[in-house]
Amino acid sequence: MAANGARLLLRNVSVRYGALTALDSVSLEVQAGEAIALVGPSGAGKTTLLKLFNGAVRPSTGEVSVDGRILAALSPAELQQVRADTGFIYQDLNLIPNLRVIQNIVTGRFGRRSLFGSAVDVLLPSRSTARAVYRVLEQVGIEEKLYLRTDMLSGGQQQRVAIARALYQQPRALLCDEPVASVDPLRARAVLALLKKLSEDNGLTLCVSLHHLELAKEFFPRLVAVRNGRILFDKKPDAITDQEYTEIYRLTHAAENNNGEPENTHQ
Amino acid sequence: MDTDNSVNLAIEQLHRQRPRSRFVRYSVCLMLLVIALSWLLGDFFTTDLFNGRRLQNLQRFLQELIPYPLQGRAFDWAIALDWLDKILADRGWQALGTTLAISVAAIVMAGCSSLVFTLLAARTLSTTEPFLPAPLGKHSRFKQSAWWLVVAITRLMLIFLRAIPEYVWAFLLLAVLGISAWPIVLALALHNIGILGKLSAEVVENLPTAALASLRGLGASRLQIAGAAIMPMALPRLLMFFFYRWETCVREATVLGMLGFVSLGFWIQDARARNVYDEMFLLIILGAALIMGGDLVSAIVRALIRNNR
Repeated sequence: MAANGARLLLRNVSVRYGALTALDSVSLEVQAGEAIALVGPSGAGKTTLLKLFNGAVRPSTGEVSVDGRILAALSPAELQQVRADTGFIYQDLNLIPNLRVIQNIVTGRFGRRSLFGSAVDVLLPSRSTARAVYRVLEQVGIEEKLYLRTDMLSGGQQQRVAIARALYQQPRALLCDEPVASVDPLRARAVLALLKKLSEDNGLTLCVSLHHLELAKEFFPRLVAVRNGRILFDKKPDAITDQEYTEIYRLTHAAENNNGEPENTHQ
Repeated sequence: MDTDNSVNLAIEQLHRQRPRSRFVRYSVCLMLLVIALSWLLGDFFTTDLFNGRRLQNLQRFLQELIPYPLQGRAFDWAIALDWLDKILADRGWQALGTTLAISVAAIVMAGCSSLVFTLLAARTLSTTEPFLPAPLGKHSRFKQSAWWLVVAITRLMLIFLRAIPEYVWAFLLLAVLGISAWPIVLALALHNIGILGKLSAEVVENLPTAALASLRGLGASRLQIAGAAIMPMALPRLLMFFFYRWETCVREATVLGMLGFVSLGFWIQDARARNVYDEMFLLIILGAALIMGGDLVSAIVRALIRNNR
């Protein structure tokens, strides 16, 4: 796997959807191989922030760069390279429901495969491709599902498939949008521990958005709090003051208080 | 009670303010008016559908539909089967086979080639940056216009292909290619490329885009997305259209035989010309049976695809 992670940088980035300002002049730097958690209530702008780094959202003003390359200045081919190096685990997973697990996972490497190679991967995967997919599935603990149709799996299993797809991609940065919003607390800890371990093992940069502050403090050495499209604070967990804590916690708590049902963060 | 009243008032007010479509109201009124007028002014009452002569005609016609050897005598299986066997051996099987072959050749040609046009005509895919925000590069305007042109030309061509009826295509092609199965096959294929291309493009445009965008987001190309995500997601519905159009092709291959090539339609017309109504009726039934068989095959294939786990 990639030996070192990608360096992610936002400089005075604003994102506006019509009259709505999703991000307001945000600057953020994530070092190569660093693991950060984005915390904040639903609708704070966390998803938008993550989507800037693979060009799925375009900044209205400001600059997004990955490893010092400004995304807006890249040619289509260069942008494709950046995307091939950037894994994204979506809150809605975004798998193709009627493909088999192995077929969904091989799509992860499409950014680096020729048309012919990817057709072979999907239709007649070689023994070595199947082995590589199996290894990735082993890492998330569902290797026995290799040839099942993806929509036959449970929600938690499908989420592991989405993680496996991103791992198979061998990205240099992994962006995860609310990976634990739809799983129970026990599973949430397992998923976060897994993401953390995988990023440490492979040296990749990890950005995870969470609206659960306690989990973020438990797993991440750096917390970036986002509220109303602005960065509220950017600190180590133990450096957060009581006041900051209550301020963000009051908001996140409100978002989570529907019997532990996380609020929908679709935009 | 007071609160009930105030709620009632509020509801009434909301009801008065509800958005109402003028179009629906006016068109309903217009429709009622047209129905009333056509009932009063039309000549429903001046022509009689069921006068005596027509009844006699109908009775004679129904008599003629009974197999000739059986007319005026008790039903006998041996005689009926003998009659059936003779017609089938003479021309029934051949005509049935030809009709089936024409329709299958036509729909396979149309189905395969329409896939290319489907992808070109789908506005979500035929754009500078499918499923994600377009880049702002200096050539992106130009590229966007080029893609727009691709979609417009493809769609215009599809409209042209389906605007000309199969019958007219066949007529034109018969003049060029002479009497053989090919003019009919090509006529059906051309018309159905227009229909399948348009319908499939709509299906592709209406697919949920999140999964497709996620592939684009990890660097997949258009064709990779088309092959690995769009096709599997759209396939059940595309097959439904495919089989429905096949059914129409069988019907049209029957009818187009009347232009002179030997399919079911040719023999139906032939029997009609010789006033052999029993044989004509049998051939019509054969055509219907072919379509029912096709429907069965289509239902089985689609169920298999749906439940393929």
